[in-house]
Amino acid sequence: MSKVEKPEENLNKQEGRRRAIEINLLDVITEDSKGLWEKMSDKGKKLATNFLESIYKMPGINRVAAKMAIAFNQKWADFYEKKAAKYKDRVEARNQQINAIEEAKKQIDETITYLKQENMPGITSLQLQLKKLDKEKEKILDKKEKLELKFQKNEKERNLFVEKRNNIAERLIGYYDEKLRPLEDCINQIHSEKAELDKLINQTEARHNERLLFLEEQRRRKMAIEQQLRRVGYSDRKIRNVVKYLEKYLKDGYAQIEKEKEQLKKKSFEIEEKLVKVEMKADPYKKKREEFIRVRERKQIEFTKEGKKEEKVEKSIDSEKTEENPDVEKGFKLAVKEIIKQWNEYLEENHLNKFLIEPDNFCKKVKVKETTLVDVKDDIAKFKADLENYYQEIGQDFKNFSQEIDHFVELISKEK
Amino acid sequence: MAQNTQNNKDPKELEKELEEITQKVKEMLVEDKKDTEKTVEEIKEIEQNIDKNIKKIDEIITDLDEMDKKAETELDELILQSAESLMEEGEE
Repeated sequence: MSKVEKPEENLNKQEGRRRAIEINLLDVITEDSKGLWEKMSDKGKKLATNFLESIYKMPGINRVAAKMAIAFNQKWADFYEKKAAKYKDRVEARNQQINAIEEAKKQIDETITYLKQENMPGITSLQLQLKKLDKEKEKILDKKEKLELKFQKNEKERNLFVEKRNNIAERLIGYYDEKLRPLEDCINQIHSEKAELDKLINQTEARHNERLLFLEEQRRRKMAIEQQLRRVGYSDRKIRNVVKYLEKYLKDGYAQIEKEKEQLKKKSFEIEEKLVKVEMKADPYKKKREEFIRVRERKQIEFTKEGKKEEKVEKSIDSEKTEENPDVEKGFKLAVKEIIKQWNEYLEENHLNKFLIEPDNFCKKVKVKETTLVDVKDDIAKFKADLENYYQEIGQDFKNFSQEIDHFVELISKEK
Repeated sequence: MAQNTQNNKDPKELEKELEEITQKVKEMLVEDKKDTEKTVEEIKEIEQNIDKNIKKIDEIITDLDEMDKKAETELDELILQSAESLMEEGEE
């Protein structure tokens, strides 16, 4: 696998870069997939790296959604379509060759007929040519058959890929549906328990107030009696002696109430903290399900429908151009800066000013350039995920983010 | 007015009244202790229910994490296998 031993300096540099990419990617793929990675060719690894490199900057929690987004990405379709188109072109070229041979054979047949009619020589050599052309045709037909098989294999693989991908997505979403319901139930149950606790705290507080009033009343009565006793000649020492138990009980009563108040406060805080923690823990999973669904809804791959093939081929050529020169702007692309500007305008219009974004800060946090072009159709899911992560990272709880961003995307898509 | 009433009482009566008050406060303390114990028990029960639910949530999250990991591995394999097969196709 390693090519580091090669003496040429530039080759070493290339190898170094390749190894760096490989190391990064090994952080991204799961432990169980590493065996497969080791067996891959360098070219395969390079292609996989191209697909997976956007995940380097994704926080862990969204990684599976990001991988799903990659599997649903148009790039895959483009690759498959490009291959399919290539084989289709080659099959057509063979068809043309066969037609040309048929045409030549027809002409030779006509010449043979003419020579026969005129009783002229040369028929045998022409017949030999016919035989040669038949052999040639046979060879081309063989090649054509092989190409058709490759074309079909490619289509089959594409279908298999999409089927597997859809199965994973459906299974994951189904599993989340199945598990999130009891999770929500548990959270609701915790809220009910918390409400029960609040009720208990209020009742206890009322009891405390009632008893504090009682203690206060008894304290006042004690003071009045003390004065009376003083007036009839009791010494301070004697008074202290007769009220010592009462004083102790009063002190204990106040202390007991105070202690219970403190304990309740502490308990209430602890339970509140538990509740916040568990909600924070569960929240990303609720969002993840939505993200999986958003990715799944972006189905873009069309399969094996003869009528659609030409359209798809054009699309793949277009995307090939863009891959060669990323600065070439397709009809549907906007710079990150422009999208943020429009998003801020949208937020202002909808009175959501507290979610306004500072472009510099956003780009720094999600590690994108302001000038990076985002395809409104193909890359927007990734941009949405970046935006969601950004709000999470800066601690802003954007409750209806999903609906708002979808609405925003719909608007900018229409504008274009 | 209570003070005027007390003005007429002799010291023995006053001491007796003090004893009564002491007794009342003592009873209140006992009662309050019982109430506190009851409240503590109720809070304990609430907390146990909350912890039970938190445990359930943790179990669900563990299941979801496992499912995520499984799906992630499958997606990795799908992406890697497809990248490899595309390259193989290209080389042919």
